[in-house]
Amino acid sequence: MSASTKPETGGVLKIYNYADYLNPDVLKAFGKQEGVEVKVTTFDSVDEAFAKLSTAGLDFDVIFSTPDQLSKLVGRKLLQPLNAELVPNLQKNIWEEIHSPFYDVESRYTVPYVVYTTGIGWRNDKVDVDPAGLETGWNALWDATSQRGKTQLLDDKREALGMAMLRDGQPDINTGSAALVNSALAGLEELAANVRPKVQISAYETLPAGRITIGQMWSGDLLSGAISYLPKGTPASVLSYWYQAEGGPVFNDIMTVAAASKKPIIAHRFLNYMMEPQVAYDNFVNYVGYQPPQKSLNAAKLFDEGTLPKSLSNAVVTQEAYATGNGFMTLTADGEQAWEKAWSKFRAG
Amino acid sequence: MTRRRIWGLLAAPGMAWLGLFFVVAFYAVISVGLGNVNSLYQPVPHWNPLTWNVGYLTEAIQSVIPGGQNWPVVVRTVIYIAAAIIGALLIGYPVAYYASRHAGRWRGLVVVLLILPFWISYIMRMFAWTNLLAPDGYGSKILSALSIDSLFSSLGLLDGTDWLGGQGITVIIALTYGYVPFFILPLFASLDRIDQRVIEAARDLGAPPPSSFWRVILPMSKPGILAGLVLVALPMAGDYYTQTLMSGSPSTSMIGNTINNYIQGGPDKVLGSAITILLSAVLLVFMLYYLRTLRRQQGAEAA
Amino acid sequence: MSAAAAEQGATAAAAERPRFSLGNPWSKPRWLTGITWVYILWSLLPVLLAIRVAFNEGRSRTSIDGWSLKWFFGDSNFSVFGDPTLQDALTHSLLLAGLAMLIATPLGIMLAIGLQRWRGRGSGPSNVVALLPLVTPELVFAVGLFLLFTTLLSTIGLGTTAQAIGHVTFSMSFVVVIVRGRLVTIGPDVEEAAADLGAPPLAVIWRILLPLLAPAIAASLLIVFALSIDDFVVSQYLASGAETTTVPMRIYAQARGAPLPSLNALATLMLLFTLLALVLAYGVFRFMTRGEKRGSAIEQIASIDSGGGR
Repeated sequence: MSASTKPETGGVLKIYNYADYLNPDVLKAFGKQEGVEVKVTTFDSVDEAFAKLSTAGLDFDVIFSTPDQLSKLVGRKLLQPLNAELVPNLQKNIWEEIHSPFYDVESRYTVPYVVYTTGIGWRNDKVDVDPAGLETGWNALWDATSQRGKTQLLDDKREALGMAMLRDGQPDINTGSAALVNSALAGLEELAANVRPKVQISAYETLPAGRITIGQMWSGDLLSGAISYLPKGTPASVLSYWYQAEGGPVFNDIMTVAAASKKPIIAHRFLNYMMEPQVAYDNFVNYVGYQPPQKSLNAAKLFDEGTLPKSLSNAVVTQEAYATGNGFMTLTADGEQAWEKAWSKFRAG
Repeated sequence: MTRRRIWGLLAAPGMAWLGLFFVVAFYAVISVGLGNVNSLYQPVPHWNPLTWNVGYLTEAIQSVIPGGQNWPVVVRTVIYIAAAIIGALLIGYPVAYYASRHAGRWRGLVVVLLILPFWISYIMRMFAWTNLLAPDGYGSKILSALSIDSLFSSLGLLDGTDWLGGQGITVIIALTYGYVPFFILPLFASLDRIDQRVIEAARDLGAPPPSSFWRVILPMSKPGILAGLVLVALPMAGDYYTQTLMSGSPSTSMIGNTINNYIQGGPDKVLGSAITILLSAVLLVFMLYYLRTLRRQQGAEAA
Repeated sequence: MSAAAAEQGATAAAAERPRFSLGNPWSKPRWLTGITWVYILWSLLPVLLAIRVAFNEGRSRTSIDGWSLKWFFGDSNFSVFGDPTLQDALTHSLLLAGLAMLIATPLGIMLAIGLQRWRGRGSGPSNVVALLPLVTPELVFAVGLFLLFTTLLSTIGLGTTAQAIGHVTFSMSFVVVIVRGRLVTIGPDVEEAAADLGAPPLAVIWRILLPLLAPAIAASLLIVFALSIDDFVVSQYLASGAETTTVPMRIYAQARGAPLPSLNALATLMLLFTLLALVLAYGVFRFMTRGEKRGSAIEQIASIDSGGGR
């Protein structure tokens, strides 16, 4: 190892991520291995994260985000280019499709964290719906009027408005057209009038607890809920999931090293560590419920063995589905404004 | 050092502190709200008043007038605050009145119990309610056993039976619960100051109790009531956390949520600042009114 | 008229009049008693239940579920002492409260004495500015400080320093109100007499005024501690990351999900610290004001917090 890639010693490795999105045991093990203390700061939405990062000069080492945020993060010089030699696990263990993804050709800034779809999750013991049986599955949420107040809409403008676009049969969820965004807004307003959703991202806790019974959520939320949050006596089979198999959102989250990092080498090592097959497995199966795009991971086997509940087998993402799926990409500055305006109008109720 | 100058010098560090972290901080809101954005839509504050740009302030004003995007939030905020302070008055006045005039030998205990909520974090008190009002919580069960939920439903105040499911009435009750202690104590103090002899005089002159209440005590406690109501309405105007904890649904958003969403949750800091300026301008009248009564009260104590 | 005198008056009046049934217009209206006690139950029971849940054996936060201390000490990952992030929140809250007490109290005392006696040009606006933070909605105040620390004062930036500055700024006004109240009670006579006898101003303040102000200082320290430890909005706006998370921020972040009873345990510990401070300050206050003919110390403490709706 050359002198320039010698890991920094001691101190704190600061991570910026969603809440409950990293297994504390995995973090403890990494801290022990590297002799650092790992601290995670959490955000509720990637928009909030970017707003904080871009104005406040926060000094994180590792930033988790989504691909659509990447050009903004790079544009504000918040990320540093990765040294590929320090993250060999990308080539070694991760699906080929993400070795040089379209949003970050040659993986200059990012490595993937987990993959997921966005769909509808519900408690089949409390709501009787079947999105798969509907012509437009998303309507299951619009129609759940009996569950008013116990529904969720993701606190993420792209996901929320994007869902309304898909429901209208408008497949371009990366449009900058104000007219299309406004008709999506009308769809969300109709949703609000029908089922009065909470705008949040905590379905992984609130769905198992029964505080919500149906909502828009990420596939990982179902598995996370089944693994960590079901109350005693409630079987995992009460959780159901549906997603739009053709043209629905299938995507991955990303891990990056912050430009301001004072421990860039350790930060790289953390990225690499999270892509170790055993670490990624532990993180997935024992806590987070969001699946890593690991070549070695055989999801079907996990369901057969009973490690994960079979009723949720559609909450994992196959490599094929990932390769052909729809994803949220960076908008133009004007497109971003249109989405933001619609979203703040929606949140004003 | 002359004796006169020393008082000004003593006040100087505190005034400098407030000047920088209160006055200049508010000036920062104005500079951002009357500033501009760069090509990445990041705020560019205009510190020089000569370069102030009213574009965003105009947009903010247009958004809060009838027909604007934030108009429903403004209306809702006013209704929630009005309902919550009426609630505070209906609950708080009898309690303060009892504690100041009728508690007798229980007085010490009653006062201690009325003060206690002050020392419990507001967020913790709200958190306690999120547990009680969860579908399987004791609060929901009791309310359901007493048929209060069906009563509220039939009055159109509650939609369904889930108190935490985006109900305006829950937010109003939570606001009342959260702020009523701040209304009771000053009112208690002002009722306590009413001279017992005045009431006895009214009685001796033959006034029956209802009229001595309506014609003597109530008018004398009016300044205390108004000041107390202003005191609790002001923080409600900037409250966003009660709504988030007790509802979380856009259908119950208050103006505090709008500002919070703009400033903390997304990229529109300039518009958020402009709305903050508008809110402050409206509230300033009430703030000064309260400070005036506070000073009068201190003057009265000194005399 | 003092509270004690009022109390005596009330008792005397009560002794004079015979107790009759509800029909007697001058008897104590029972419905008032009822409302008051129902209100007191309503205001305190939810919190007591939340505390009780912290001692649950099981995971439920909505019902009573056995007795244990596991959410404080037992559980290796999820109890207050097993989860370092919960402990960090508690220590950070205490750190901020300590800093706020140390800075806001002396600044506020000086400001109060200065404003009380200063009659020169600028004293009027200064009086308004010193009290304005009492009534400014915390959101407005927090937005201002957030923008200040991310623009003009970005060298300070967000984080512990900014949070401590924020807490000092809003709690200083409470100190001013408390200390000025006491100054009014003391009156100018003592220090004027001292000054007439030739004592220099600083000596008057140090040797005469400060000892007389001791009860107000104790009360100020307490109120600053409580305001700081309970604060949510300013802490949240000025936080920079995990190490600047306070207990109320932590409760807020988790309450919307389905938190474990360890969150109740954390809240209980915070409340315990506040009540300890309260008891301590009450003791000091009583000791300092012994022999004075004023209302009970409890009511004194009651009246000091009535300045603002935080």
